[in-house]
Amino acid sequence: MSPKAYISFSAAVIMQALANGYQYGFDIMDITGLPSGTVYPALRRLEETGLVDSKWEKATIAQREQRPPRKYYELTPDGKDALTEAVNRYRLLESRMPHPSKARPSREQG
Amino acid sequence: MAMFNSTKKDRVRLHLYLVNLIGVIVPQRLRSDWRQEWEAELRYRESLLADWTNLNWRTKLDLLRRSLGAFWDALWLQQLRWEDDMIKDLRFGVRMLFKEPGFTAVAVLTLALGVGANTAIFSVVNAVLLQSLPYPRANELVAIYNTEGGNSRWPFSPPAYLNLKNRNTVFTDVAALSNKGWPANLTKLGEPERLQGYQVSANLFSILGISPEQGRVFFNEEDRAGAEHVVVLSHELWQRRFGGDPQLIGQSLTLNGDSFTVVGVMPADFRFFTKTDLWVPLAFTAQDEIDPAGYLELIARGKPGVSLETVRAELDTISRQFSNQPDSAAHASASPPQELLTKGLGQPLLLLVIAVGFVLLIACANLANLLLARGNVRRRELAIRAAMGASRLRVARQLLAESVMLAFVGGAAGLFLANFGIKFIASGLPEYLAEANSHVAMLRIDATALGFTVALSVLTSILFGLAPALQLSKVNLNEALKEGGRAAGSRSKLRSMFVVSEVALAMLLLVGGGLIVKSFWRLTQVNLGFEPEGVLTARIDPSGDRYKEFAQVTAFYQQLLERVSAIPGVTQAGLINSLTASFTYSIDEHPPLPPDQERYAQINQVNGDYFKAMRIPLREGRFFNDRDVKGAQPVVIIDEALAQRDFPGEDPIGKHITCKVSRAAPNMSYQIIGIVGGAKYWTLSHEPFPHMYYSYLQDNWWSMSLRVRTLSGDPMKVAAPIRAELAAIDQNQPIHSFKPLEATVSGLVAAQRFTTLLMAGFAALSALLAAIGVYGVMAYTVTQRTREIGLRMALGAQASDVLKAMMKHGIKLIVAGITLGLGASFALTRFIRELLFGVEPTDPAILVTITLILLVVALAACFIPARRATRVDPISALRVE
Repeated sequence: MSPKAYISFSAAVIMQALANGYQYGFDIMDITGLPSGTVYPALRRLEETGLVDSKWEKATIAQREQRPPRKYYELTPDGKDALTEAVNRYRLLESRMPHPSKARPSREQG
Repeated sequence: MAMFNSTKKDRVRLHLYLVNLIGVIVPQRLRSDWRQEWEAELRYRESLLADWTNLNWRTKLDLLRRSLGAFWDALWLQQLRWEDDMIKDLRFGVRMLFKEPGFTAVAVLTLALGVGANTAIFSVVNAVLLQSLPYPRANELVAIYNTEGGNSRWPFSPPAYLNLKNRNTVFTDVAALSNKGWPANLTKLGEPERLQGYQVSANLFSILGISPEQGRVFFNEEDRAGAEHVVVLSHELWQRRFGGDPQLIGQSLTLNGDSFTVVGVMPADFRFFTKTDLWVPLAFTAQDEIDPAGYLELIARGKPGVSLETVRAELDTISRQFSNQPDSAAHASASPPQELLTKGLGQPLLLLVIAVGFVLLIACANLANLLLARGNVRRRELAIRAAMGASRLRVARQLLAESVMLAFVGGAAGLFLANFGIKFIASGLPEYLAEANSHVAMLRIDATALGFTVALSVLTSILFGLAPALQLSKVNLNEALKEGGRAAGSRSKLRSMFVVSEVALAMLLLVGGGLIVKSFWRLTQVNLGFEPEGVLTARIDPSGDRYKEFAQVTAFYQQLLERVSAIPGVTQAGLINSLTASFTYSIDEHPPLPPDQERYAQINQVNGDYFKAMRIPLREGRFFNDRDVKGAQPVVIIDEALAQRDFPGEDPIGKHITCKVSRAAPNMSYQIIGIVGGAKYWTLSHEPFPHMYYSYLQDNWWSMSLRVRTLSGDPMKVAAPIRAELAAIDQNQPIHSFKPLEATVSGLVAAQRFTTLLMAGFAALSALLAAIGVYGVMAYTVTQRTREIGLRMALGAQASDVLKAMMKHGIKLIVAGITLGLGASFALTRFIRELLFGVEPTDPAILVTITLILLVVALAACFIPARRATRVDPISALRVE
């Protein structure tokens, strides 16, 4: 992918949230305060440009919790580079959201 | 996923219902994925917020609001749906095109011819008429000329030019070019070469706004008499003769025996007036400044914001004040240079544009028919698509996608053809266009033409694709699936309509083409008044110290003529001065005419053998002989046109004509000694302009042109001996422009030949396309009616009955088309009346011939499939379904 792809502020916020360990759409919405209509399209766009990767949760975990398996997102190496660049641009980014380890216990992952 | 739903089945969860609903618009490929993600998120959210029943309305609303975000998400995925469908359509389209390579080849070729011809013609029209001349702010430039209204135009004399230049208030500046030319013999640098030079005022280049590629242009003081000799070269000369050496600037060249310093080289794409190798400053001597002879072509740049009307009004005033003849019709006027350059070309080019447009329409009608025919074969497939839930829009889109693909492949092939066509057309354009306009000289397919082709391809695909797409997408499921393919009535009506209009358009084009061809044939049959076959022409411009005096020049020519006449194969050697000029004259024996009725005649200086070499007949009196020299009685030979105009009912021989032609002897009276036939030197479509001839031994202007009649074969064969004879007299005089006179004459009709060739080509193409159209429809009808024919034959119908029945249908279409086309011809051909010579727009011979030709071609196209119908085997025909 091209590292020069433009990253909007909201995309940068979402990527920062992913970098900080929030991996589900709703988590990201909660922590960033962005509406769902922004978060999901942004995640799909980032996925399409190769900055974000997605994986389906293991079915066993979903079964245990009696719900459909969820999709979880993470930054690709390209995405991490792009985020570094974006952080330089948007200075307030890192201070805007708490780290998950401080905010609440990290959850089990598939 | 049943187990998840089983837990709280009884409860209606609005947000999940919403996600289900929104999911409908998500492309199918992504739907399950998308829905699963959203449901998982929303359920998890719900569980985080604790049980649905225990939630307060606020949290419920929040959840609902968040679920609505799914809508944006789904919308965002829409573009993928378009992409998906489009790729599917296109992929399917490609498969269909490859599946029927015969159909595809015919369609692509038809389109390529239509689009290619249109692109080529457009490129030419764009370069010649639409693009402004290649000078900065070309719209401010005007060419200034004298006129009596109408088409008359003549150049300015130096005093008139200087007066205009100094007194006008509408131009930033006025430049002049001497149309006498400045033939330059380049010597002392290898082989002597004769170059085409022009004298121009120093401000010409700055008025045109063109900077030199190397060095500089003229300084303003360099066009004064006595200034240092400087020269500006053309890029072409600089490259050809001097290898593009930048060191040439500042060096000197020997031109006509004098030394000139090269100060600059113009850019490769600079063109002005005509083909030019070099420019030198136009310097007026004191004598020039009072010379009444007009030889200056003027070009000026208007001040910004000054309208052409203002310019013309001022030119009118200034010129009338200068000539002191306020009542005379003669006055100065101005036009955009491009308008003058393309005079007489607008109409033929417009005609060609319309003709290629028709060709494209016919091609489109053909394709629409092909698509309809193929669509009928595909009815089952389309019906199945519809049965599986494809909407009418979806089916139409699929069909249109195929048309667009065809159009683009055809357009690409057309561009390829246009690339060749453009070269052919460029070679047929009148030479002076390319010599004066670099857009025409460097004609090629540029971005504009490319854009035109793309737009045309899209337009054609809509033209030929839309009707079939709309027709075919209207599927009646029941019928189509049951029958497996028989034509619906309305569809064959549409197809018949296409064929009729095709034949009508072809008829129109053929009539137009026929008229143009006949007109051109008439033009070539015109009696020129001389016989160009077997005559060689060549130009000589004696220059240098040995040719300063009149006697030296005439002695040189006498010697040359003697030697050339002695060359084996040469019967007569004629000589005529190279510049034909028009002058006013008076007849001594007649009362003087009022100034506004002054008459003009063209004057040339010739030798006695000129008329014999050209085979211009002597009607009365005698030709010039060796005793008609300077000092003897001045004599003149007039042509029939002048005799009829000025001496109706009297014998001109022995009368006297006075004309202000020679600066040295302004009022010399010439005795008429002979009358010769009129000769059409300049144009074939008009009667010869009154002409008179002087003996070159009494008056000549140095530069002359040989007219050598040869015994037989190629006249160019004597070019080398003539060159050798000239070298024997003077090594340093180049002779140039060897050309058979026939080539010059055929050059007179170059523009007409160009139009004729293209029109005939387009007409033939349209007839061919129309024939293909008729053939296609008939072949299709036969295939469709195979069963019926089989049945008839089984019941005892003869082959001839079947043939008759089949032909009847075809003939109906053809006759309808031809009748329509004839009507349109009557209505439209009068618009090309001005382009015709010796032919009426409703020439009955042409109309009858064309009708017969088209009838025969169309009937043949109709007969081949009809005859196939008679060979139907009843048994196998009845077994078809």
